Amino acid sequence: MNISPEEAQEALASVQQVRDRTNQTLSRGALYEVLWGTVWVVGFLISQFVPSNSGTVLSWTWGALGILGGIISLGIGVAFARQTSVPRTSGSWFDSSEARFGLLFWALVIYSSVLFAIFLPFLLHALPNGQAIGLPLSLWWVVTFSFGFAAVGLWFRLSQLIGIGAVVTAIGLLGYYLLPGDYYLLMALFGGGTLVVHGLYWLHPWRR
Amino acid sequence: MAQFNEIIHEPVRLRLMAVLMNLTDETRISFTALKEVLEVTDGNLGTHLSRLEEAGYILVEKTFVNKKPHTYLAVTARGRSAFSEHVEALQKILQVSLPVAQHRAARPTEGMQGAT
Repeated sequence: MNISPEEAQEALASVQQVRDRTNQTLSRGALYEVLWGTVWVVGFLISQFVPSNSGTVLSWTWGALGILGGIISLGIGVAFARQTSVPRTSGSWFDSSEARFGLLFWALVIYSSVLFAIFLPFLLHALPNGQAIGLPLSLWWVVTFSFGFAAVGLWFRLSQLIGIGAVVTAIGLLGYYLLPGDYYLLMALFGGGTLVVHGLYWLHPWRR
Repeated sequence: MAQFNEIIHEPVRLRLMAVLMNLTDETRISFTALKEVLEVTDGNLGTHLSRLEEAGYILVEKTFVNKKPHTYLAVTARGRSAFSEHVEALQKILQVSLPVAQHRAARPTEGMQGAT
């Protein structure tokens, strides 16, 4: 079979495009993992070491960390969108895996917030001491995001993400029920730490 | 000598092999994930996978998870070798064409010379 140089160039370009897309799809997810793992490490360390009656300070701290993480996540997404040009057969941004991945987490946050708002009165009734609500509130979000990782892992058949979701949930439950005094420290080191280490592991081979 | 491979050169199969080549030896990619990356339909992907499997270039593993069938794919050593050779052959076509293009640019065409 004889092919023209233009056809050969087109073929090589499509190979490179697929390679770049595969690398970027995997490494982008890892970047988000490192980012949010770092947010958890910082947030949980602050939670562990501030005085116990600092509920307002912690609320603002986590709120600020969440907003900062969200802005950086958006920046990562925009930066990658500008660097790549992936032809889509359907022409719809919503059909891309990356878009659905991001929207899944947004849906998770929204639905989880609604559920939490419904159960908050019952929780406050069961825990009249406002200082004690920090732990169950924290565990609620830990389990929510762990579910998100597990869901994405199931969707993309990535067993490591399913494992991450399970491990982080297990660490949260262990800390909450068995070591409540060290819960935040455990979540910082082994919850956030797990996300950071796993994200860095995924980033490393693709730098070659 | 680098061999041009007509089986691999088909556009979808070329991209498919490029994805599989990107994976480490111990990694498998699922049919669903591969379909997402390549943006093709189930039937289309299945046809191309069958062709590559017949040629011995890919490994298709079918398993059951909770009684549901799942398919995982990887490139074989033969497939890696064939793909690498094919890419090398494509690169050689470009290298051969480049001196020819430069030569033509340096000389005016005979038709133009005749017209003047």
